[in-house]
Amino acid sequence: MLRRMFMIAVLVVIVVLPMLTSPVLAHHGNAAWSSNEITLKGAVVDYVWRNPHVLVVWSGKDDSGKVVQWTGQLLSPSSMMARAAMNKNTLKAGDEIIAIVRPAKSGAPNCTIDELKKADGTTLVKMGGTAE
Amino acid sequence: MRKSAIVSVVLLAALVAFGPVALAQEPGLKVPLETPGPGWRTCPHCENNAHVADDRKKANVDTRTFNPHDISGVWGNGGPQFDALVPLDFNTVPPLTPYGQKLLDANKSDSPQWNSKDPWNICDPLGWPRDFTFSYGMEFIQLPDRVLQFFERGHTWRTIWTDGRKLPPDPPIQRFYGYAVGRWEGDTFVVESNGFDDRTWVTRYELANPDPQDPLHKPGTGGAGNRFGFKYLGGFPHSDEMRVEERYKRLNYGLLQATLTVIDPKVYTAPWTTTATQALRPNAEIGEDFCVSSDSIDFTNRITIPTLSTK
Repeated sequence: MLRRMFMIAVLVVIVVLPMLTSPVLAHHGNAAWSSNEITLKGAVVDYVWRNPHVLVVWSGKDDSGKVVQWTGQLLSPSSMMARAAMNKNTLKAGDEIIAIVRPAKSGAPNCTIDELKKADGTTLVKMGGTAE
Repeated sequence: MRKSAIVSVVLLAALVAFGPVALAQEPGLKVPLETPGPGWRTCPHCENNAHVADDRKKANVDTRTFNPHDISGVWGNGGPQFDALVPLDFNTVPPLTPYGQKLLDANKSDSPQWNSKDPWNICDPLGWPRDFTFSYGMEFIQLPDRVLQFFERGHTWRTIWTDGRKLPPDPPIQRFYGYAVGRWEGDTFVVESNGFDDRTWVTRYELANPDPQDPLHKPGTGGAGNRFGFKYLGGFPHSDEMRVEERYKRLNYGLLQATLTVIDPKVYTAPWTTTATQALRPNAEIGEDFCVSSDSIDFTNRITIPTLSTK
């Protein structure tokens, strides 16, 4: 019985998960993200320079000293090129960054990035304002 | 406990959207233009509006002489934002037939936060005319017996035959981009098409919730919605009997006027016509913008699912 229920769960995941893809770059609602910004610091773990959104993954310590890995989204690669001169070499694993983000309301360590800076405070990209 | 796990997984199907972000201000010419390399041009989506304007100015698009029977080139108004090459006007959409309303209702999203029924979500082809209402740029290439129309979004094209053939009266296979024939009427290139697969949308239909206090609020249609989600999300349908007529007229060297008419009496009680102009993009080359299932699945796993919110 338990094995059957587990198989059903796996089947649902296999069938449902691909259907949850959303490659559309704009016209998603903003309801998933908090309205309030927070500032996070850490070292880049992964830099995904691909559609549908550029992703930056970094690890940093929260206020309690616990290491948390965050995943933040930007726009598509071509949009980031056009607006902020980002490219596939802008970030690499180990780079220290400061990220001003709006985190997910769900509490997951996901966010949408409003501003990204190097450790020395140099701005890499500043977002926000009129939506696409 | 296991039952709860299954229910939780199923509930994942009720998605939370993720908000796009956009820049506070136009970045301008200070942002260097990225190209693949020397001799290569940028893609229509890859240059910002300041560079677009600068390129057009350098090419003297407003004053250069032109051949009105030459519609070749890369066309598209926007820089990095989505460019509705012809924005079908929600304010002028004709009343739907009862059958059309049924199709529209079926396309309505399950969630106010993302367009859950959008076939593009699973990388189904945008089809025609939707690729003209939701693209980054297109290119016309004229050959002796056909005109090829390339679209960056979806990295696809359609063939418009100009060898005198007529539209097939009853095509054996429906196509996402239909069957198209073209001819010149004076200085206007007229395209007629039929034989459409009815799984595509004419265009998506999105209305943001009224929230004038939200800086991301856009009145009217579309945009990113706002923190309260969308008021309406869905897509305008069409039947497999839809016909589309386009009329292209080069107004000057740098501007192409396009009039698109959707004729589908099964769904719309009257023809739905919209006219728009596209700007020539003298320094752009159509790039590659596939909808990649594996990229989408990866994004879903990294962002969408963890970001699901019940708040």
